[in-house]
Amino acid sequence: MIVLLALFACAPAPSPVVVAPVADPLVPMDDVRLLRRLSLDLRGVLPSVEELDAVEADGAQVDIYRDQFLADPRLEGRLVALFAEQWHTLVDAFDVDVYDFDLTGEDAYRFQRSVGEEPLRLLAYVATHDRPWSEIVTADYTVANELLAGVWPLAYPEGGEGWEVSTYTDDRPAAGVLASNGLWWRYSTNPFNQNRTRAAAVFRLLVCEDFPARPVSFATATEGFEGVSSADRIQSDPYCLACHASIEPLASALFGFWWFRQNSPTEMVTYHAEREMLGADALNAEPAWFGEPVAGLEDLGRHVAADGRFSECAARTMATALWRRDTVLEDQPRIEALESAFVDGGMRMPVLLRDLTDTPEYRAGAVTDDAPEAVSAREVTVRLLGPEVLATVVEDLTGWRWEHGGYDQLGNDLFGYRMLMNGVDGVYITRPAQDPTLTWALVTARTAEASAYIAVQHDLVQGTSPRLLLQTVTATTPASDPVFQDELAALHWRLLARRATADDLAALTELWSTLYEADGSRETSVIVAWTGVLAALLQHPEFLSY
Amino acid sequence: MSPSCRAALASFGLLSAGCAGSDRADGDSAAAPGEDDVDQLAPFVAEPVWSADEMTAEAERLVALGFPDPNVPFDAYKALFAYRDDTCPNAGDQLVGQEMPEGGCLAASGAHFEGNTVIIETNIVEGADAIRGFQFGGDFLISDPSGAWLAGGGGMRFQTVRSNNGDVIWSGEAAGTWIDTRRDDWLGLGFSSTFTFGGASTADGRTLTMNGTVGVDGVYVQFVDVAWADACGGYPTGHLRIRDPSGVWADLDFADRCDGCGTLTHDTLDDATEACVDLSPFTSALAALEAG
Repeated sequence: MIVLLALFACAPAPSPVVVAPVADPLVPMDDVRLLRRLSLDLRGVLPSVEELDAVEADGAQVDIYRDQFLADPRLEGRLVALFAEQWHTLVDAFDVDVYDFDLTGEDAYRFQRSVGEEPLRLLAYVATHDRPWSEIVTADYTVANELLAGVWPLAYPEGGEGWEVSTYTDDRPAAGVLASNGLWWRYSTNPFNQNRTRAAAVFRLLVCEDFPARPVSFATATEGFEGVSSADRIQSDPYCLACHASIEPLASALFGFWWFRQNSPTEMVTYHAEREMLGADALNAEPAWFGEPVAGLEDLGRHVAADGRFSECAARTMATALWRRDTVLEDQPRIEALESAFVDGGMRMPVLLRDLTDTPEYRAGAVTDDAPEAVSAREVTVRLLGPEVLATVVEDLTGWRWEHGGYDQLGNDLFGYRMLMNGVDGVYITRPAQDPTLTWALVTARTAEASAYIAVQHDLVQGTSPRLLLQTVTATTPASDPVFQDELAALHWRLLARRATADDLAALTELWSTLYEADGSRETSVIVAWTGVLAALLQHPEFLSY
Repeated sequence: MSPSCRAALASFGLLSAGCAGSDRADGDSAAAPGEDDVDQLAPFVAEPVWSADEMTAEAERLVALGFPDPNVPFDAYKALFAYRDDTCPNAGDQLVGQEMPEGGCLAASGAHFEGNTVIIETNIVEGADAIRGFQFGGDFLISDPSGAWLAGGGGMRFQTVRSNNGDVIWSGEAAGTWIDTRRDDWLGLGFSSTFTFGGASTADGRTLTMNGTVGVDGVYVQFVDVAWADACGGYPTGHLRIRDPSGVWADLDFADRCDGCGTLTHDTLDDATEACVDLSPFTSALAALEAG
């Protein structure tokens, strides 16, 4: 209690969710590395040298920067990536492809990502434009880009560029993501499934009820129902009804997106208002949300938003994203506190993000030696750069994005390496891996080598200004020059957010010299040596973790 | 318009011209989403856009656009094949997408073919009985040399069975999304449905039935066991549902009144109201299909 009182006494504006328990087994990371974590999570880039210096001088600056990051325009893109990990819409293939829409193979990747990003962009827009989170299921608009505006029935702002607020023009109800093509193209259905998969997705994504994850024992379910058709059993067997009493009525509400023919672009681009009532007959279930009748999709959105689990699920979803782990029963008090503050704050996402980044779970850099084993196993105190963040970090540092044939190589699995780098493809891999793997190491190594090459070519060979990474050395600066050592120290600080020790500098210098000599100590060997040093730093464990 | 114009579906007729929300088709509201910041958690209460008279008028407008006769798109499809050449699209009268280049093929005539279709035609004579009909389905788009096009995603079916005793039974289905830009009727405006129909002409008289949904030009209706029998003087029984632009459906119950009128109910109507609707353009067309 004394500790708690002391915490309250010292904190100028205590957040209700930052009450660390006595003898917290979580050890906060240092302020500079915390700044780096915040910058990567909220902006997708490394902190600038100025930001690092400021926080090094005054640790309290980290929260000020955090608040700035929450207002940074790059947050929207980061949220798209974070939501994608759980919404699973950034898949590499839909039931239709780019050729169905008068586009070429060069548009294939952009087509796939545009479709998949549509619901995520709406989520991110609501999150970053001071809109109540409930708007994700009640909005009378979506967020679309030029490509989608060309293939879907959308009113896209004249003169607009990129992702813009847009409206469907095919009489679909105002229901936010529930009325987005992108969501239902990802979560397709078929004549046997009849929207049940879609209903399960809605439950998982919006109220964190994961019906398919519930254990099922067919042996138990069979008793007394031999010879009864599956269609009848799911409406009569109490064991089945435990899920299907909720699944079918929600599935019934989604028939405006029912396609008579699968894989038909003609059918899939538009909402079919005339089919809204078909679900009741097809599923023998009137549209409802957990027992409450709903009068269409718009009404469904209101019911979802009013469900007490909706706001809690938002807190849980974002905690999963930022703590980089699933939430567990022990987290419930924290989740409830986060949710309470979120609701009190008008369900504005920045409130939730601010509170989440205040939590011990977010700020932990280690666990204590005597931490319970469950805590040690659960908490992710060292996070690995995933493919999305590595791509934006490298692009910010070098201006280079690894692309092949129009495909972002860290953002797809048809030709690229997203899953190999612990990413989520949304079909086979549904949560980001948190441990380094052989393939993760291979991809990060190749990315580091290419990034280093590009930076050195830019800075030393072409001498283009402004420089990217090598700020002071030239192609003729010898290793013995103080400028050389200063450059190494600055790189270490910029890329790793830790001041280089003498040993660090010595190791980097030795690497540079070894590479220089191995290349024959020629004039051009400087380029080889710097490329090697930069590549080493860009695959340093402290660069690739945060 | 590009000959390969599936993207044009997005901005065409049915797909863009609804009644509800048409005031935001210019994108004005896109500039300020949720500007009024309404209480997002308030219970949904539908505010009807149409009066009962307007609902029936809209239903009559829809049926005046023409009966969704499966023969119409099937004939249009066959006519467009006159523009084919030896290699495009491919052999026969069906489209086999796997045998065409990505994005379809361009015939020497300037017509463009893309997609897949399946056609099964039936012409069976057993004794004195005859069964004739077709099934036509797939997902395709064919544009003629002028750039006008026919697109379909779904299935069309029609069949007549004639017995030697003079009985005739006919039935069909129009399902999916279909558009023919060369027309200005139901098919020209763009058509979305899951609609089945049938007729029987026997010594006991004639019966017509319709079931399923139809959406054309921003009007959406559902026929629920709607039937016309001689016993009811040619007036309908069953239910006709009409979607108000608010998104709530009204139900017109013809019951057994046999006068073309029924009881209209709507979630937001305090009292049921009487409404009449003239569906004769549909019934006339359906009756005419007896001739095959």
